[in-house]
Amino acid sequence: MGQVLVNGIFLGCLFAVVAVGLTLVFGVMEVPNFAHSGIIALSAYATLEASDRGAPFVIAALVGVAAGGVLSVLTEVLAYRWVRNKPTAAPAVALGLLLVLQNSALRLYGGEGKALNTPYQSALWRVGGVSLSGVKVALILLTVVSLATLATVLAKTSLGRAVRAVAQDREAAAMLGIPVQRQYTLAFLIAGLLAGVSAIAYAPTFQVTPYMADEVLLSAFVVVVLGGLGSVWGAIAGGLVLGIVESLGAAYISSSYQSAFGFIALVVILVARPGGLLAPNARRIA
Amino acid sequence: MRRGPIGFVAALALFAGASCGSDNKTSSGGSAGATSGGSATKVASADSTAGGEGGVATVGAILSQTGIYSTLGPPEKNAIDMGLEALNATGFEVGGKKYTMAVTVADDKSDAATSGVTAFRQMVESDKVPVIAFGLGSSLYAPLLKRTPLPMINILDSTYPSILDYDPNIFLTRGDSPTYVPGCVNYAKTKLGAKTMSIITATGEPYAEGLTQLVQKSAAKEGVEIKATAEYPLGATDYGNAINQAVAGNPDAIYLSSVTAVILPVLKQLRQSGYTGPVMHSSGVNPNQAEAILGSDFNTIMKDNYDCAGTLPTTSADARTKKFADDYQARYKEYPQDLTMWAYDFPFIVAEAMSKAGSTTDREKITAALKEITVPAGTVSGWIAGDGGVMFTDRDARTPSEITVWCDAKKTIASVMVFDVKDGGVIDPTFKDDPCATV
Repeated sequence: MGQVLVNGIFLGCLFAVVAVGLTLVFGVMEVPNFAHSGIIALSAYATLEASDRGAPFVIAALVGVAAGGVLSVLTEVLAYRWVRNKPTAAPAVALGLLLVLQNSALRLYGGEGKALNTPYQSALWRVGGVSLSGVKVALILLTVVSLATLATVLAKTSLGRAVRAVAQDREAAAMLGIPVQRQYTLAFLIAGLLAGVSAIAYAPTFQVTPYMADEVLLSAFVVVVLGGLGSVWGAIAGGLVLGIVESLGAAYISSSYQSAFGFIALVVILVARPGGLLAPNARRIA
Repeated sequence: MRRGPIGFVAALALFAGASCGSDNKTSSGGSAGATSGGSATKVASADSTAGGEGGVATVGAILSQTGIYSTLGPPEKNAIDMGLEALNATGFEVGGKKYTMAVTVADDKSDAATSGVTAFRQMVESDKVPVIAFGLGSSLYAPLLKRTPLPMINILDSTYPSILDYDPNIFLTRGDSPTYVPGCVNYAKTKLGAKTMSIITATGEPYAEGLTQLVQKSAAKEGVEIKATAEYPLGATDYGNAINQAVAGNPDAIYLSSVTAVILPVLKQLRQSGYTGPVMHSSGVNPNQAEAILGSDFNTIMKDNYDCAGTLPTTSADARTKKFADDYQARYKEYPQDLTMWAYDFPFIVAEAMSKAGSTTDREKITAALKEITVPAGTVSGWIAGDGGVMFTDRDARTPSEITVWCDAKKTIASVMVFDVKDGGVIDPTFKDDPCATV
């Protein structure tokens, strides 16, 4: 049971860190940012590239996170900005961007899986009957640190308050003198940085491929809906709920339907609470 | 207007549908490029553009150049290039005239259902190729073959139940899974002393599901207890729950069912979870792939690792196969997978069938001829001829089966057991006492 819960928390943290990036963008701009998956993959490749060129892991990881931020901002500047007032076009633009990003990765690096090496990949701790691998512990820590930082920024800084204001009511925020466009860019920057964090946290357990985040992104979207569209805390809670539900379902019912348990949980929660676990109602990004 | 969860879920469904077929890379390699499904490019050696006095016989190949199975397609294409060059150096005779061969290669993007089927239609209906080589998607091409019969030669896929059951026009150039999987269980029992095993398998992947069934059957025959059969959905990226289930019963060995690109991440997470016991599989992992996918710890992760499949070019005892392996490695700077030798032989097999059929275009005659040809000269795979010396027995051509072991001191694999299988049991096994000493 302990190992099952640890696996669930690991999965939940992974879902949460991806989902928070999605929900942040959705909360501010109402874009279902499918391109997030491509950003994660390219961030992982950037880390890999830096690592292959001899950079120490920490530097390579920072390169990957920065690459995520830059790419994400570029998607906003080059694509999403132009359909801001055409919400029905946003999903198609997001899918188009995903294809562009993934095929760029495919063109640059090929389709074969590649390993991202870390200094802690061989670490293993056993606590009672529970084994904790270094890569899983690192993912949990990175998630906690990055999400705590984000929560602090959103709650305590003027930048964060501005983002929240735009998410709540962009017209009112504009009338109050908040530069709305800048908040959009900021939301994409933060989402991109989180994509970079998820790439360096998650790639060492799997492999780097152009499609490495597709499956995770689907689960993250479930988390976004589960937690309440636009709610950061909802995404964190939803991620943990989904991870633990999937893990328990896999352990006690059938591991071959692991992903299906998440979707069942989604349906059940939407029936009980149509707005999600922590529906933000009028107040988004909180 | 704010959109609610229902609209968001609809957009999510759109993503799920789109991402299924999103791997559309245009790839190139060897002497010519392979293109995305539908359009294709000829792979031909220099002299084949002119051909002999008979001209150029053009056949097709649908390979996974990109996507999750892109570990398979590019080496297959490389080997076909080599086979074509060797064949076209002398050409082949059909009806008293000399021909050379060219192969049109299309990329199924690891998605036979969409890109593969599109490429098939292009080749069959527009390009009018008489023969197609392919890897994945036998069940998907079978209904198309019913409408437009032509010989399709599989140079990769040994699922269980056999792909040969799908359609009488499908031929297979490797031993089917039942010819090598029993070796794993037998070796685990007799040489590793295993009394129990667990299986970790990908669901929704025919090769994996077939292997799992065969391991279960072989275990029952050998008296080895299967402690757990842990499953994960194909496409999953975290296998923690399946791994927990598999190791919970403390098995003496674990068998991983699926292909290289799928099992290596599972193996990585299995070792990261602390499991140090023997791991077996039938994926044909080579050292290059192990290093690329597993990273700097690949040698540790691959320790105590056993691979049961057909003979590999580098570990084969056949001098022709060994020479091919050396040539391939020297040319492409990569370790040749088992499928490379079958791909190399593909042009020779087709040429032999065309010669026997007396036609380079008549699909029906070439299909009939394939069933009658003997092992063609120039092939390198070390085929085991059937009764009367024929290459295909019940449309299946096969090479010996073997088990390779990972040699951590040399960071490579070595053959440890060569065997045959009869009635589901291992026969005529030969062992190497110190396999790693000779590699």
